[in-house]
Amino acid sequence: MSKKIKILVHSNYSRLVTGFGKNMKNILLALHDSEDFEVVEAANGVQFGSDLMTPWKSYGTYPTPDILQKIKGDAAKERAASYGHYMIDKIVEEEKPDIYLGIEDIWAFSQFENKSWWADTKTILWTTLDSEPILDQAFYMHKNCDKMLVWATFAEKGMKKLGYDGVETIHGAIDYTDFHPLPKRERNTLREKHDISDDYVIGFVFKNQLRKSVPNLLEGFKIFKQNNPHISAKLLLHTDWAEKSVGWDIPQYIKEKEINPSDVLATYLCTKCGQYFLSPYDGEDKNCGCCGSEKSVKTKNSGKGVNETQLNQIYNMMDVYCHPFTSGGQELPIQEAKAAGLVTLVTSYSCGLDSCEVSQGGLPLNWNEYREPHTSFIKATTCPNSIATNLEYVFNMPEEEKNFLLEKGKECLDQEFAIDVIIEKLKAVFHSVHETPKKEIENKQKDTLSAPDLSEMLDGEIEDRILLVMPESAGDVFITTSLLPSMKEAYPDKDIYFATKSQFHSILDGNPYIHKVLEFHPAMENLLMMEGASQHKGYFHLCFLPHIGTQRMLDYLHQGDADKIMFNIHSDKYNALN
Amino acid sequence: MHLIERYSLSTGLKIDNPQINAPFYPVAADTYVVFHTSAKDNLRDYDYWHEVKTILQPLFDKHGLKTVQIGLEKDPTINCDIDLRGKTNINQMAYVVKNCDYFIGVDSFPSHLAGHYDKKMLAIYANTHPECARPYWGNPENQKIIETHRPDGEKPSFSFNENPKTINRLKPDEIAKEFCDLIDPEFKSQIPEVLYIGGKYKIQQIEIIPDHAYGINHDNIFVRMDLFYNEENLERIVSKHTVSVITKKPFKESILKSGKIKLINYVSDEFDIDFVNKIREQGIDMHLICTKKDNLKKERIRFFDYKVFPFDEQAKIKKSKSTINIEDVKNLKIASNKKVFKNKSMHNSHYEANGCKNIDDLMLDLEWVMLYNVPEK
Repeated sequence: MSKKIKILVHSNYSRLVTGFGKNMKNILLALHDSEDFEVVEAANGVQFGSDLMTPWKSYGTYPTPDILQKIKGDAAKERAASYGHYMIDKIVEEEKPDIYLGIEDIWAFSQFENKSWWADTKTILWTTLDSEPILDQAFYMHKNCDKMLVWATFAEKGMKKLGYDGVETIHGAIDYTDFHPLPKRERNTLREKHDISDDYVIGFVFKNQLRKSVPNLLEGFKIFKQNNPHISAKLLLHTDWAEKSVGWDIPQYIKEKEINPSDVLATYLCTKCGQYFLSPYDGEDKNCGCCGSEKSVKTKNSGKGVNETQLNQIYNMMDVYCHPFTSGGQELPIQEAKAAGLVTLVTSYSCGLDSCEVSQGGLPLNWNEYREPHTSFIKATTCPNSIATNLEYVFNMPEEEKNFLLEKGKECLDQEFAIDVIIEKLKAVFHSVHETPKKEIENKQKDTLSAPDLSEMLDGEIEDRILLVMPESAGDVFITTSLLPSMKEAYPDKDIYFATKSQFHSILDGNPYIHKVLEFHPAMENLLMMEGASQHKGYFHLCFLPHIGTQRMLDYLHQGDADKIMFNIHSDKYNALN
Repeated sequence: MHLIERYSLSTGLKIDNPQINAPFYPVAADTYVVFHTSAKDNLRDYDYWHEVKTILQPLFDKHGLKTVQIGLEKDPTINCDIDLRGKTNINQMAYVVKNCDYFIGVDSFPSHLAGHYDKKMLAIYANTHPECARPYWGNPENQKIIETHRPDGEKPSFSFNENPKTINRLKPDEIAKEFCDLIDPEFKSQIPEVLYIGGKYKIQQIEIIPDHAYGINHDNIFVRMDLFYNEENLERIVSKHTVSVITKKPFKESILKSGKIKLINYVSDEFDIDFVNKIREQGIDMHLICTKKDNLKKERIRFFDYKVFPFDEQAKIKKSKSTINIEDVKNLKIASNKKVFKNKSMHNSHYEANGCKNIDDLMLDLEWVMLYNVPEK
């Protein structure tokens, strides 16, 4: 029997209920007892050294506390840590996989091409690219990995358009088997129970975040109601209504658009007894009419929502599913709705292009382009008139046409999104990559660290300044003050600046030797930046970094006291009594 | 080499004396001992300061010393007479230390202060050489520097990631005796001897054997249906209190629906899928604990969405027996923060609850107890 191909799969932890997490779970469940492959999980979001209790070998990639301590406060490093940047080397060294498969947003792999193992290991990146223009980082990583997979054909086409061939679309391996049409009788009973028997129910299942086009949908719903006053329509928004910090304030928009609040329904769930019901939104933390618990009823949230069986019931109470969004990686609810037997209206942009056509069991929603501030990505703002027109179209749709669309939707799911189809595609990619010689890495990017703007905080000329850096902690800052009399004696004409984190500034309050206390910045550890190099004049005549030998590297331990200092390092006033 | 010596060599500067402003901060005591129990990382936090303070309390009373705790608000309390956790800034803390009579603490900033002010002090060290981090100023004769035990030539870890923490190898009676040397050496003879402390000793937990519908209010109650299966009493308990349940077999759905169960530890060779689904439907947290090694992988696949923990009772008993001398145990006193309710009485362990007949009961509970003896008067 030939040796199994060992694949290290690096993504969200397989028990996380995220798109990446579900994908991880499903591919590992499908491959862990395969004859051809051996799989190992490298799980983002779990600390290295933890027991992940998976049926296959697994590692957490989140750094151990000693590493976290070192990168604390550096947002870029903390972000890299969450993507496994600091522990993946150790895992690769331990496992020596034939193939590294990284599944994440493309920026998660920043600097991976510089890792020592990258050049010797076959590498596949399976990433979500949801907007145009495609990030430069994707083109760069395409050159530096053996195979690039994307979650949506939109991304594949975008890259091919610019000459980046070999990119292949494999949708995320999501299990839709919990979603199916319920028998008509059961469906009617449910609708009756929730008091929507005679209504035309338009549904949207989503995490309440700004890329879901809630105002557009409300506006489209309003136009539809105005154009069709004879239809008793309800809009069911299955989301976390209370999430206003990163999502939409839905009640405010309902009010603003002068929509009758009783026409927009929320899903309420009792966190105690698990029962749910549909109702116009009326705040959170309500008492449960089912189990009697107090303040236990909330609208759906990502932490503790309805279970899959209940969610399937919710889809089955809808008459049409409408999913307007600015862009997205896969948008799982669109496929869930199709599986539950719904015609889906989807914005025809980004991953929506895999679901919105008639051949895919959907109807496209028109959109206009806008540019996202800061990133300049093209985003879609879905046309409310298109929403209204399509809602009307589906309402009036003959039964045969509807059945045709549902059939197409099912075909699309079975052929493109079913887990076994995805697994077979993945296996083919693994074999192909394994049999192809390793691609050479084209070039490498270097880390850059920009300097803080110190000029406004400094007095006099560069030649007048000395910087003493001691980022932390209270004890170190305190004992370092014992060096200041000697510093002043050695450099009587210089102004002494002391840089430390703000929480330690008060230790230096009133210290007669210090000219100014500065907030520590990581760039202060770059001596060339502080003292100058080439055309850069620097900021200080002298910069001392005594902490490098204690806080960044351990260059002082020496069995405690086995080392000897062969000259006097104490001032005359040093008052040690030993 | 001490930290400050490294800094001196690195900068080419001579070591003088440190400086800090210490503005007045009122402390309602004339003579007092300061406890500082936590460092910036949990690693250097010693878990048994409360026990140290309890053991030393008669000494403090004898010498008229009040106790003062300084540190962060989040630091665990050790019930000092004056609690200044989170109430002082760095400079006010310096004043409190400057004016104390004795200082007891960990490897942290206040220990440097105590040294600088030449206080009689005790400080404990674990993950580094004390010579590198101990107070650099002050009379060494006033300073008790205690390093944790490192058998077989083990060196400090120099790590922020010790599990278990090596600092906890120090027993509270050892620290108390060392402190006696600073103030009253004869008092040492009155210090109890601690022989063993389990890793979960500090956790406060109530365990109810449901032979009666006990009415106990506590944040952390476990009903041990695995030891005594009684649905009626469980139902009566959950009608009044929120609890966690350990069970070997399913119980009726109405109890699950009570909304008063926060966690179920389901212990079995093979799990009942209906029961698991019902627990899930109620949104109750659940741990699946598999008692048959051969079934572990199969059960982990069947119930992938849950973590399935392995458990081997005999292996646990064997491991406990290798930790301590069984003959010693029979003569020792047991302390525990876990209380067991059985036969309408409260006990310090299942071993005591079962009449101290079967030492295996104690071996299963060993990580929850402290074993000690009290000196004869």
